[in-house]
Amino acid sequence: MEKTSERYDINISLFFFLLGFLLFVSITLIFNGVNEMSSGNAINGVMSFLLGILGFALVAYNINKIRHRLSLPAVLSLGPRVVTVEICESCGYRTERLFKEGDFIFGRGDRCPKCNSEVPMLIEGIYLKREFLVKAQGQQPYRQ
Amino acid sequence: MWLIQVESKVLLFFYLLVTQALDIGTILNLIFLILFFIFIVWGQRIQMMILLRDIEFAIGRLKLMKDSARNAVIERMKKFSSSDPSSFIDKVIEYVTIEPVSLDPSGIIWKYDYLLKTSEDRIKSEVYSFVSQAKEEEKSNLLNVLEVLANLNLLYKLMRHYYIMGKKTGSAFIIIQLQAILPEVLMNADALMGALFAFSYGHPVGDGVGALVAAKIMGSKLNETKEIARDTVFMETTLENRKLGVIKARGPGGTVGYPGDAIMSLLEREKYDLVVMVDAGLKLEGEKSGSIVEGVGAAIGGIGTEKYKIEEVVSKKGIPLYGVIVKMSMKEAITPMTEELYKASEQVIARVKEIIKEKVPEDGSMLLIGVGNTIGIR
Repeated sequence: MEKTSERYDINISLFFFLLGFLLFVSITLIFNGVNEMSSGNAINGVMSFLLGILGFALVAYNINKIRHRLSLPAVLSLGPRVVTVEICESCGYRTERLFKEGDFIFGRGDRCPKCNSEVPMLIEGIYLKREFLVKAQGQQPYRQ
Repeated sequence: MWLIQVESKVLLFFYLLVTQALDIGTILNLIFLILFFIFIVWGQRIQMMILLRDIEFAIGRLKLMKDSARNAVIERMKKFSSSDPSSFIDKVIEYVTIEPVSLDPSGIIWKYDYLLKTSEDRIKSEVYSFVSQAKEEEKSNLLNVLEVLANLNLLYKLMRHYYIMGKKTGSAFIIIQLQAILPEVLMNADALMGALFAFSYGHPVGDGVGALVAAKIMGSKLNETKEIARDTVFMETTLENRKLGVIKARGPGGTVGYPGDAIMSLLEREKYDLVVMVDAGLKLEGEKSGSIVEGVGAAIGGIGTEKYKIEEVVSKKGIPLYGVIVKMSMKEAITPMTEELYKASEQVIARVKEIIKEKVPEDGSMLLIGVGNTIGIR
């Protein structure tokens, strides 16, 4: 059953073969264009050169597109960006640190570094810092 | 080997053609002539090939996401179990809940309710016995993680199904429709990956803003709550000199509880002048995340069973039902709670205080339901 469905998986090697072929033609056209221009045939040279550049751009565009599509979403790297806000109920000291497993809102966190109270600080909030989120969204993980 | 020989001969032919045999004008004319005939004869097929290639890449990416999510879940479960969880995970994510027959819709809600609870019980018992060494909230979180993985798996399989259908039938309509929904599907898959991450580590998610409001209002009395329905807790306090009942899911494990059952059992024996529900709501593109809107009606999502119970009981008792909704995107709802949404909870509390002062008399009472997944919130 799995074999049948795999027949329809991405034929990425064929795609790269075609891209490689296009790259070869583009480079040949660019060299040809330079040769033509140096031998005085300016119009043919410029046309050949421009065609080569066009093909080269097409290859670069497609590779860039694949890179985006096959990359995992940026949200996976949000891990170290979630913060835990703690407040000391004895002295009112508030601190912000990176989230660690086992933290939950209205649970108990670390001991207060200021008054060293015996009662651990209260976890007041856990959230994703805004500046980190904007940075991650800027990567546009679902770009088409 | 033969492919390399053919390839090198083709490349040599093109090289000689471009550099020696023809001038560039003739080559261009030839190219345009060939392209003209190609597009006349195979134009639509070429378009379909381009669309199919887009879909292939999207499916490839979905597969990549699904596989990495599966590996992450396997690693996670290995922490709590000595046996290999791979086959167990593959079995659980394929579980289906068969919908009840709808030819005679009378009483279908209760059938749905029963089937959903049975389904939850079955998965819960299997997962809990597999990871018996884990803590209670970690078991709840693992249930959520498996649900997310099941959704990701379903998304991948559905896309693959329509892609194969489109390719087999050669139907342009299937292919075009599939290509049109690709960005939305990939956005949802991204959101699911974020959800997997949040549920694995026990981060509060955007959807939990209702539960956060309820927990903040309960404040120091969070220890005094009692279980009123399955995975759902209740307590009584005072707010602005009025009696206030608060219902939320039991945290800090990932669960949404059964607020419908809770409100039904509570209103059987208690009288309230007003019911207010706080929940996360999907924003439209262009709307600000964390903005608050108010309205009338049951602010709760899901398949509709809990909504039905709440509407049924408040309409029978004649109690006004208000909703306060915090707007967010689908992605924000199921990924770690953002700072904006966290801060919005304070604004919601301020609004709840205004509502109780405006709508409930001094000796009256109000019931507040904090709807949403309470993961990472006590």
